[in-house]
Amino acid sequence: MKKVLVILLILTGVVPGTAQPRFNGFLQNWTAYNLNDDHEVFLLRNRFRLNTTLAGDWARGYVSIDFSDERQEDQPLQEFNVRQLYFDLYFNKFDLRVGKQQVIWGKADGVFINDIVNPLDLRYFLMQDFDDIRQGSIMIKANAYLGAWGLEALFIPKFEPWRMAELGSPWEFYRPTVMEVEIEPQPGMFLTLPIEFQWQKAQQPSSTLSNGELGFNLSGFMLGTDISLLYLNSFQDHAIARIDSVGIQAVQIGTEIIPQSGILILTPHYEKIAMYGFNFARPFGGLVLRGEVGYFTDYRFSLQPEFSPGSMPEISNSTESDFLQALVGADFSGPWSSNLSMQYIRKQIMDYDSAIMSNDEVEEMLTLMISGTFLNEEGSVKWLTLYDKNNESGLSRLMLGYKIADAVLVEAGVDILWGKRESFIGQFADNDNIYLKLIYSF
Amino acid sequence: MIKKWILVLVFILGQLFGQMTAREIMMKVDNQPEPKSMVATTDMTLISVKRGKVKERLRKITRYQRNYSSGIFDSKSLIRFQHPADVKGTGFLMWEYAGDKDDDQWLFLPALGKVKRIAARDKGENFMGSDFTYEDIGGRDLDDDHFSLLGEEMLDGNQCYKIEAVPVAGKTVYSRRMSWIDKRKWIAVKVEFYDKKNRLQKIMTIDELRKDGRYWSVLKMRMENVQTGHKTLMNISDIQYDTGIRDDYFTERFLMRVN
Repeated sequence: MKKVLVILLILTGVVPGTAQPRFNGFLQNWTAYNLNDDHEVFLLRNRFRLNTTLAGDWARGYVSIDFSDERQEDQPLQEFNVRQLYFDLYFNKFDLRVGKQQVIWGKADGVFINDIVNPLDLRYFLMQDFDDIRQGSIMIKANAYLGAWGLEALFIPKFEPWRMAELGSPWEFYRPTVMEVEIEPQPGMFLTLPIEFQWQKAQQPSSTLSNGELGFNLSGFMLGTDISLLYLNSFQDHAIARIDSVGIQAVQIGTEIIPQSGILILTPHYEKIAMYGFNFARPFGGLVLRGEVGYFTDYRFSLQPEFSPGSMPEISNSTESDFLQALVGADFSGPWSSNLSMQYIRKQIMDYDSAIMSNDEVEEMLTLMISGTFLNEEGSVKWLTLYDKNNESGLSRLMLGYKIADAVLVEAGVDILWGKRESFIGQFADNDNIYLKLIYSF
Repeated sequence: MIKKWILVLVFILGQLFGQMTAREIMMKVDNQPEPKSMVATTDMTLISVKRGKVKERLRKITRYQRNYSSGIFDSKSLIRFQHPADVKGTGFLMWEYAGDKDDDQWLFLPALGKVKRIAARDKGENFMGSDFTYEDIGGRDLDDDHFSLLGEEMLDGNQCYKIEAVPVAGKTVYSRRMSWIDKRKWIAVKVEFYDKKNRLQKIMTIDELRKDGRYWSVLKMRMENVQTGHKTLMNISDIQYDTGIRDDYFTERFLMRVN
């Protein structure tokens, strides 16, 4: 906190032509009850957000901090978080931003296809507001402008991984701890062998210059269409498990060695990737059509460990393949300030190997969002659904908001999740909840 | 052919006897001098009455606009939301084209840090929850209405033409509009809006005007929905004309720059 105050004071001194610092933010209470578990308090979170801006003629400083005090399933947690802290310099055809910042590269709503510059905060899965899901990264970003076109270049010196929920949290991601494999130690003798997974701490890339992340975004306006061409040299968002070693417990019966159980020791690693992307958005009357295509080279996928009949298990690691992510979406504007938004997402492994764990060759997802306002925008309603076609899993959220006063919003909602336990969304199928948020903005 | 000659004759007689037609009056209103650029701050107070209790909400925006007399653009504008706090910094960029081409519009949401391409809203929708629709603010083409001069009336001590406009083309949410045009200023100082069932729906009144150089500035206006009792007061301040805003101000770069 002290550091932030010092930075604010420094900014006040160095931003030329600075007016008084301007503050805004909110106080928020978020109370959620689980619908599947005796209606216990699922989450109790109080949060204070303070944004400070110091703007001058050709420079600007910005700090956004969060202080939260929460209780999630009886686990108290206080946290102070510097969300963003950066300094801008403006030139005639050129802007520079240095510091912790968020960069948005996508046209999609609620899903991240090409919008992968910043790591995500998935401690509450997708239940947080979307501006809270994206974490700031320390980087240098430069933008050059020529007419309706702009070129953005960014460099992130140190990789930051996604932030996941703590062990024991209802939003802790599923990781297999045991699996059973059938082996044939002797001809005609079949055994089911339990294999225990022992997970080591994820191995992060070293902070070397060559491990820095580099990106370019050329964007502009042509024939009524917003267009972006993207390149990002980065790391995969989620770590890939590498098997460090395999242990087999066996008993000797006479001359025969009979395996009893196995242990796999796995260490998650972050792998380097390159992404080539294309975004577009174009209106057609009351409809906006938008899309994203991201092509990743040398994307790495975990493989199932192989156990050959009649022999000791072989250590298999992972395989590389090019990987495609694409989205097409349509937004319709309706009466009474209503909007209907639909998105189709397709992910495809170009050189598919049947031993790849957790991923199908082609994965498809659909999203639907209907929103609107009423009572001269005092009230709002939103219904959002994500459906994972491969795993027949999804989540659905219904939100109803009402502004008691200009500064006070009360929001009530319900989240329903379903699907296979091993799937990205379905693993949280027990986390159906009903919630109330009270937000005072200043 | 005869009809055309009658129209010419009516026009000549009108000129000879000093009597303007309804369309000529509306053309004169429409042809008020237009600044090359403009900056203004607008405070909108939304007033509702529920069970005898008055509730007021405030919206504050700053609007930057550049008008074009030639080329493909009619105007470009950038609206920055200042109040309420939860939408502060939100930016709305609009490029309006000469002719029938649809506007291009973008919305910047500072909480998401994202510029979103949006479709032009239905002109009949309310602007920011107020009683003004996009059509009320943007106006209609003269060719889209048939005008009739119903006479002259005194309004707040000012002699006004009373003109009825009935739509003949283009989309509108109204069956007709009744306008009172100040004879000295050539400005509609009061407009009544009638719904599709020809019932009086809203009344717009200009309460304060000021002449800044060549341009008339509306400083205070209100719109009252007589059917719901909801009303909107609009106060416009910090008006600056012809400040020379550069064309590149109306781009995504400046839409995202929130001070």
